[in-house]
Amino acid sequence: MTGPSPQPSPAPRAREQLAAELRRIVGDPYVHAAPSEVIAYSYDGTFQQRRPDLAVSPASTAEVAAVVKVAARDSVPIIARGASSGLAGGTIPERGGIILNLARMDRIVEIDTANVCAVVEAGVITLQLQEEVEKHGLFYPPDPASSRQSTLGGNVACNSGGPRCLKYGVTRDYVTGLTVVLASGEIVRLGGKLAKNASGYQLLQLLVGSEGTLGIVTEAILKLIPLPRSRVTALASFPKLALASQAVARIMGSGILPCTLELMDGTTINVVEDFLHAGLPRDAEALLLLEQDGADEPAARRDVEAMAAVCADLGASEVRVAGSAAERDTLWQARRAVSPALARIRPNKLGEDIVVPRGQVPAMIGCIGEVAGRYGLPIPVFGHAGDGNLHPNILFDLRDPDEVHKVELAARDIFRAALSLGGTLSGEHGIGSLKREFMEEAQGATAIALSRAIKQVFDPQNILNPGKLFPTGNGIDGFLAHLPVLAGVTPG
Amino acid sequence: MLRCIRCAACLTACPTYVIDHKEEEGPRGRIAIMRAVAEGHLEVTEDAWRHVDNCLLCDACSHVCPSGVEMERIGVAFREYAFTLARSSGRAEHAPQGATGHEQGSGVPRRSIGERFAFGWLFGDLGHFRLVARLLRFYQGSGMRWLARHLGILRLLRLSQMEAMLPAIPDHFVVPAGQTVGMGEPAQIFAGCIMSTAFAPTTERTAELVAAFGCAASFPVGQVCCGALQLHGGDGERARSLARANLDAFGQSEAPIVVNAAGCGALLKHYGQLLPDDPRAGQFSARVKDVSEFLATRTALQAPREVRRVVTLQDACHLLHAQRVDRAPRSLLQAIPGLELRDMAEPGLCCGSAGVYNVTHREQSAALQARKCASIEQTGADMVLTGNPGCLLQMRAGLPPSIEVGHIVDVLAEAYCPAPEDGRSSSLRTVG
Repeated sequence: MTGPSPQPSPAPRAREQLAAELRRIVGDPYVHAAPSEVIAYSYDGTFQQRRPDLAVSPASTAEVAAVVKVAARDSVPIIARGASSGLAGGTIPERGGIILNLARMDRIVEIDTANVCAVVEAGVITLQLQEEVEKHGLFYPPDPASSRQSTLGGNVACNSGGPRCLKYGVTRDYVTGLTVVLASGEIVRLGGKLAKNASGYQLLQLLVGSEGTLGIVTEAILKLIPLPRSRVTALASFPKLALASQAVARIMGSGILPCTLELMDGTTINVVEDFLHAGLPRDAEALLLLEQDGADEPAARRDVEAMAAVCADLGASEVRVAGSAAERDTLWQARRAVSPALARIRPNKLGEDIVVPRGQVPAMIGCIGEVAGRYGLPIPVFGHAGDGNLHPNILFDLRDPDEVHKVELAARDIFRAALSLGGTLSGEHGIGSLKREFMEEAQGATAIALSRAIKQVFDPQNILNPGKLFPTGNGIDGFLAHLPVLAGVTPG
Repeated sequence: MLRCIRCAACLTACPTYVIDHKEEEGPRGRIAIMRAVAEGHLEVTEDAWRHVDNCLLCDACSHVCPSGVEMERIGVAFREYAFTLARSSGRAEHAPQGATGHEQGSGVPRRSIGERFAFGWLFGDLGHFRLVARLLRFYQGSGMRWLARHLGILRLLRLSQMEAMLPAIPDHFVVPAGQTVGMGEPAQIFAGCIMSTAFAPTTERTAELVAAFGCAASFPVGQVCCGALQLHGGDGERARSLARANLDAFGQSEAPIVVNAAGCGALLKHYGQLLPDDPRAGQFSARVKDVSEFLATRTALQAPREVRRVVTLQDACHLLHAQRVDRAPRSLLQAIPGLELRDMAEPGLCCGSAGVYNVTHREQSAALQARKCASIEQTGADMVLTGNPGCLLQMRAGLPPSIEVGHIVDVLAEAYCPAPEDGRSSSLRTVG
């Protein structure tokens, strides 16, 4: 498996000069150019891998701007990353260049209780902000499963979601201000500590979800809301997956907006149980994790009981309401572990992130089952069933070319099924390099042309995360085989 | 290694990553580096060796890994491989990776004379270890320590850091010779090298505690060092030979093997993996219990006495992460009347001791030590407890004298063992 022929790396001497210049900006210990170090900045949360020419860890917006100016002068690709836990290849340096590691910019600048917002640097870990604001009785809802390691800069770049987003909205709904380094190295501040803003184009919203292709977000102002004081969680087990997906549709139509409504199928239940021994029912074909929060516990409990009644009515084999905070934490720990724990089954996984209109969840789950059968591949499903965002994970072994081909076909069929049901490619992971070949099919040629025109305005030299988001022209056939991995014995 | 799917769940658990947020100083980066070496994409360059060797092998990453990567096993295998390469390449010590650096293993420092001495002679035989400990005691007791410190000899020999870490050596050691205390079900005590000398009183108390919980505690003769330092230093051969000696010493009994050093316990529990071809090894490992784990499943013969202390617990990495023991020490302490147990921030973060890491990686170790000691001081506790000798030394060196540092056994013994005023001199006490 080889990548699209990468543009030739700079000559060793040019690379050494670049490293020396960057050392003057960020300091010696924060330029990572040694042979083992470029390996450490070559991957993300997928199986893709390609060495950058070097990586730098700047400490401030000013340092980021200085690094980008150097990259702009030399037309070197520059790829920003936080924890690089992304699942779409968004931070893979496919064409070499400079990796900008923003994890070191990890200061919570301010928690402003009067304006109910937080000011954070890009490298702050999502969970750290959440724990900090909760001390003030405040709440930052977006909660990607990777919140323990993902950075807020990465969340903004990918418009991350999470289980609670069903009720509270995604990262985009909480961003009111951004500090951005443009492709020229100029620094621009967008928005502010504002609850409303109708002043012209909302450029900051264009930056959210742009995956580092339009500018580099170094600081964000995030809206906060009051912390709900009560949470009630329940777990419903179903003997049939179809029954669980019907329960989702029925609950969403019942006038209740739960805080979360998460689905796990039988394979995911068992693989998580192997890791955590959380007491999940191994024989169930599906689980629904239900949660309601609110200012008072009886109201939250009433909602959970109403949802439990719907599940029981549809033939749930068991509905258990978590009795203690510890029990609830165990359930959540189980949910968060699902995606990485799937590696226990096969060496590689293609984690999809499709969204369909909520009413189509049962139909979509049916389609995924058919695709799995058609190609003989294990495709466990879990995800945020309540908002129509599902994560079918195709499990495979990258070392087997026949299987890789089958995975391509299965992924294609799943994408097309989602599109035909009125859905789209990604709900919270982003497009990166993994799904770009399907973008035109998903959005149409006109929308893609508009997006390309926007990219051209922001980044005329095409140095910011080049190649991501847009179809390459290679087409859908072989879209996996064209992705970069280190050529060698056992890629992955 | 193939199990790592690069989800990054390990990053925030890693002590060396949280210092500076460098990917090459985190578990995922180290796995990628080792894998690149294994698959032929990378030589064992000086930088590759350094980033891997900076790992404390605290296993905090393995503890949180959803896909089941076992960092300690991979790290140990890599070290052994790298040292084998370095030996066979026959280059000078700390050979820099230069123009001819395509030779595999060129970036690995060859083991120094001191290390070879330590792994082979010193830790290879408890008798040798006791001899050195006695010399140290003589050094500390005589005017020599004053003289050495003031003449600057230590600085000259680059030993001042190491010397300051040394515990006060007690006047007697525990020499395992089959001696037994208490009556009831048999339990065998693993004495360890440092615990039986520098912390001999704690190891005596361990046996007395086991007796106070209704067992006949004995120290089997012939036991040796567990081999963990050798293994982590890349000398697997010596570690395996020590393991075999311990298998012989502890015999075919069914009795539990009680350990009071988390680092030893973690390895003893993995003898089955270390010696896969020896059927005795797996059986031995199944018998091993950390002292807190062992006591928590039993009932003491007498109710605990009141102990008026405010304590905090520092989870030893090799107890919390490698052995996954977290509730046992807490439940034991909470059962003592009068004792208040306070939680500290970042309880799972390594204190930077990590075997001999504090000697081999001073800067990183000092950063972690400062972070840990600040967390301890924030609790307001007047004593910190742990279950591993390395942590004891590391925290003693980093904390102000107003905060006591002790083994969890020391406090449990206050609650459960006959008070010293009984005038009973320990039958276990042996000057070695």
